[in-house]
Amino acid sequence: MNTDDIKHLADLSRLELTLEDIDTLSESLPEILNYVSAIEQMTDVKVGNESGEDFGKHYNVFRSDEVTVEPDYFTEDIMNNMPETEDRFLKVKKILKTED
Amino acid sequence: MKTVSHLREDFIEGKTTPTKVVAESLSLIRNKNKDINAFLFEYEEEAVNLAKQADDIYKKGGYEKLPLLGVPIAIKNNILIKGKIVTAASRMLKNYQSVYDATIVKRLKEAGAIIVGATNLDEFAMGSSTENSAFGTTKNPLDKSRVPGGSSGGSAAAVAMGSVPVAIGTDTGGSIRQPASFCGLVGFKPTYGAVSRYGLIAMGSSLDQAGPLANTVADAGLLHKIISGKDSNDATTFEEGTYPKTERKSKYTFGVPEHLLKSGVDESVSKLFYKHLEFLKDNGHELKEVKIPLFEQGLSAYYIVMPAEVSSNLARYDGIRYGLSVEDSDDLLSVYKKSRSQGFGTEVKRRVLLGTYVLSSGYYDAYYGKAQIVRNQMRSQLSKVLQEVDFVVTPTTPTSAFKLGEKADPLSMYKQDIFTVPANLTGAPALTFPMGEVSTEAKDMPVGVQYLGRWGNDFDLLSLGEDIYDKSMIALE
Repeated sequence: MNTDDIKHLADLSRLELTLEDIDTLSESLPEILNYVSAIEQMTDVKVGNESGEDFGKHYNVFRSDEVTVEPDYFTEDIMNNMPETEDRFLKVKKILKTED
Repeated sequence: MKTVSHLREDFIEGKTTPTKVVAESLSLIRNKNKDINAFLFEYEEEAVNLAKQADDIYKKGGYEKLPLLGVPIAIKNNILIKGKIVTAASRMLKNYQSVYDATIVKRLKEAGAIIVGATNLDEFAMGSSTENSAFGTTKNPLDKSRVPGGSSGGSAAAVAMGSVPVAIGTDTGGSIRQPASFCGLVGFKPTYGAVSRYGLIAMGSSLDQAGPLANTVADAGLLHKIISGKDSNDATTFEEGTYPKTERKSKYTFGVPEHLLKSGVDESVSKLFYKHLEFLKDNGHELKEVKIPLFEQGLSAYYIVMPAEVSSNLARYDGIRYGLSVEDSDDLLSVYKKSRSQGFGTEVKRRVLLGTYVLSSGYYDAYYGKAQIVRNQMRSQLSKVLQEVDFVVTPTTPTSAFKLGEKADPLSMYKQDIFTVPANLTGAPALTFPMGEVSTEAKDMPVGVQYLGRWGNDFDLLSLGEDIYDKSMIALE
């Protein structure tokens, strides 16, 4: 894993890394990946449940489709945590760059 | 501080009052926190008011249905308390004000508990020493040159320094049990789905569980009883009867996976562990060597599955709706990048990158896919073993508390989790309590023994622990 690989990963992760970050990470990331890749060498793991015992049921859990809190119950508190608002809206930066 | 059950008795009999106990708790926090840094916040005014109300209820009656009335408690600061700042020990959430109560907080409040403060942790619960907090390291109250463990290091230190009888932590790979082991406490990681995760700041959603840190197993059980149970806000919580009940016995068979003890365990710790096994035998229990071969690969599987979930869960911190937002960005993408880069610490970034890597196309099958298969196999191996034995017993940690700054290399820190991650990967409940002390250069430090039980039988595990812990401590003396 070289510096470019790390920069690419950072891009995918929406992170900007400092040179210092890259330095630390280019040492530790390969080391950790090397350690966890022990799992790749395991060729004899079988898919499925070899014991046959039910160790936990998996099923979907649905709730009834109804309103549980009054409209606007959380609105003010949620808006107070927003970095930038305008009236009752969250304000964000431009998505597209325009050439002017 | 006295145990919860002891305090309760004293309150009822009028030997002391919630006001006195809460005042004692707050003054201990004031005196000791400068040194220890267990608490990020204290809620003095509110706690004092609630204590006064509790005094009245004990005097006039009506306390019967409030099992924790007047009991001071600390909450890890990655659990939402309405109206309070909940930081997850990250610059990202430095000013985040919680909009609602986590289900467990709601249940604790309804039981009459008084939240005196919120405790420090490794940023977003990522770490095993509480050195990764954006708001300073927590120190071990038993020896201030050592770490309290992590990530619930603040909650452990809060109990160990005597400021509260119990505290709530969260456990994704050992974050309740390892600090409990390092601070000489009882720690419990419930069966996955026993306790609602609604209002927990998510780290690894398929692994996270909240649970108690306490001085006695009985107190841990008391807390677990209040916070556990079905919650319509967390679809993974299960109802009573989901898992088959096990029968109570007076003599049990304990499985010992000796193969796990071969490498990386301090000699002093394994000595203590074998002494604990002797104690079990002396008390008429049966020991049986068991093999759970995949537990050795558990750590590898964990450090794939967990970062994968971390990278997805932490994608929500983008500087848009809440949390740190870096203003001097010219477009949306740079708001994301700058906010995340300035908001997250090094360990969080490392895990986000790792997770992104193992989930990226071309690597997904080799890492994440394989880890999920291993995880399922671990579950079935453990299930098979738990048909032959009642509980599996191991040390909780390979060492006692290490020195501050001692484990600078992340991989050596990760290896702390060798005995604890299998419970999270398999979802099984696990209890730790002190099995004795090992000598270090300055003083003797505690270390824990871990009991792994059958899925959904949390209270059996707790009552077993209650019985064994007391007797084993007497045997040591």
